[in-house]
Amino acid sequence: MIVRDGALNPFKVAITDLGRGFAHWRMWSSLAWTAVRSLYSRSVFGMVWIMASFGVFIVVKLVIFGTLFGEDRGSYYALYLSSGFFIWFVVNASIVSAAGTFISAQGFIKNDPLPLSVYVFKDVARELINLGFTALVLVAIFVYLRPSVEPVGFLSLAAVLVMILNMVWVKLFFGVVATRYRDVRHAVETVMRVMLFLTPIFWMPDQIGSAINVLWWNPLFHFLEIFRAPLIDASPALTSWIFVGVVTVVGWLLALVVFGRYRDRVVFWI
Amino acid sequence: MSSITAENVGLDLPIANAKNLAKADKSRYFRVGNVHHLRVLDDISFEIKDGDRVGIVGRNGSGKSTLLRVMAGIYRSSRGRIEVTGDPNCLFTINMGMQPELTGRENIFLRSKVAGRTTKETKAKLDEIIAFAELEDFIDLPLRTYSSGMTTRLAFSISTAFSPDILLLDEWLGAGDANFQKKAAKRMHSLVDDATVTVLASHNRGLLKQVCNKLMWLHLGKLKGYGPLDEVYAAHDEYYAKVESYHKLL
Repeated sequence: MIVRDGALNPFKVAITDLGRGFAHWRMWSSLAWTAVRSLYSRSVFGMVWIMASFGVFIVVKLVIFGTLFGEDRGSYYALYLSSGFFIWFVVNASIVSAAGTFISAQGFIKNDPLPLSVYVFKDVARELINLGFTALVLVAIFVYLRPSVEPVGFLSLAAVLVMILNMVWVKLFFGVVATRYRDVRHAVETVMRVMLFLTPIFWMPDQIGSAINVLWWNPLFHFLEIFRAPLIDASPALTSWIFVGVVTVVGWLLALVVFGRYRDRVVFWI
Repeated sequence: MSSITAENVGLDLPIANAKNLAKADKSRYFRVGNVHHLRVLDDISFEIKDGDRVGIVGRNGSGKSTLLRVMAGIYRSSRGRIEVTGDPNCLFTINMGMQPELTGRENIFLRSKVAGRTTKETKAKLDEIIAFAELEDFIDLPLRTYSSGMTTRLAFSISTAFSPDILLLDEWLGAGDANFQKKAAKRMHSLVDDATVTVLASHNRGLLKQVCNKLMWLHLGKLKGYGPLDEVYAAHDEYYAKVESYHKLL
């Protein structure tokens, strides 16, 4: 006896779900806003804590690691570290939480036939709200240090948009896979904890010698680089853009196939 | 015009981490690779037409809730076809999406957005929702400060504020104290009256006789009977009386 899922085209299923899910923007945007608000409700400083936790993190890191770079490179390192961490915070949060995209929405999924992408968009929106707050801190650091940002710096905005595009497929893919295989969530958490050190955030690629030949293949490096390089090195980071482009296309194809194929099973797996 | 048509609908539920199924009913349990499956619905065909108010009966685990979820589009059937014309609204749980840290008023807006209503539509109904829940004095307090009765009243009031086309109910909804129960029952009956199709799964025979004109009888995932309420109930009673006398003989 074979359980059939019918002969539906997975791409069509996935894209229909994404389209219908996006159209529920009223719902997912308010759920995202509510999630952020609820987290900080009854605290005096509220969402200022998002900025505070990011700011304190940066300052402490600078105090400890900044001295290694001496006076002259100190302010460059501050920009390097803060712009790198700005992206790392949201990338890490969205990958780690991706595993729980559908599991945490089971109350909805079991009782309402809404498109599943609603919960993907909700989580992406929630992480973008956090990103908005940390962006204020980053802007403050740049205003304080006054580096000369060239016009190529606008590429960093494009880098953020491409990152958001990637956040969606990561959640679609890991959301489905981690609902079926409950080890995935823990595996992802473990890997991401290590990735913090394998990605050039604290350290710079030219400091680690030939190890960079291996670490260059870490996709997260390139997501950081396309944001960071235009801002602080006035460099477009073209090779990193190509790397990110490939990751985006391959990731989306993979996510559409997996999500389209197994979308209807998610409700049985949660 | 609303209708629900099912042709040979079957549903196999994958059961994660199932153990000790050796003794289970082989006709319903099977394995695909390493994953155990339970045949929850088997070869179900029916037609629900405009104006039908269908009750679903059957013992625990007979597939009532599952069938409702297939009708609602929450589960996609493994086999067969189901066609739903009209906008189904499933009131399976009235508390879905209520946020303890938000005020009652904010919860009304959030829940309405989840139900796909615009802010304008919600505003038009807002006073009525609050008044029905009898929470005028507490509506701007966080939900976590409400008693469970108050929360249920609000959830009920929000869930039933908009009349759906196709009303799908997994058990009749009620809430609150005796006084509110009366109001709630009246609201439920008016929802049924407004809906073009109602499907209600319940164990309450008195209620089903009062609300429904047709009956669907499920037994171990199969449709044992579907038709006029009294006829199906007669067959249903006869069957279980037989089963019982058979057990007595043993």
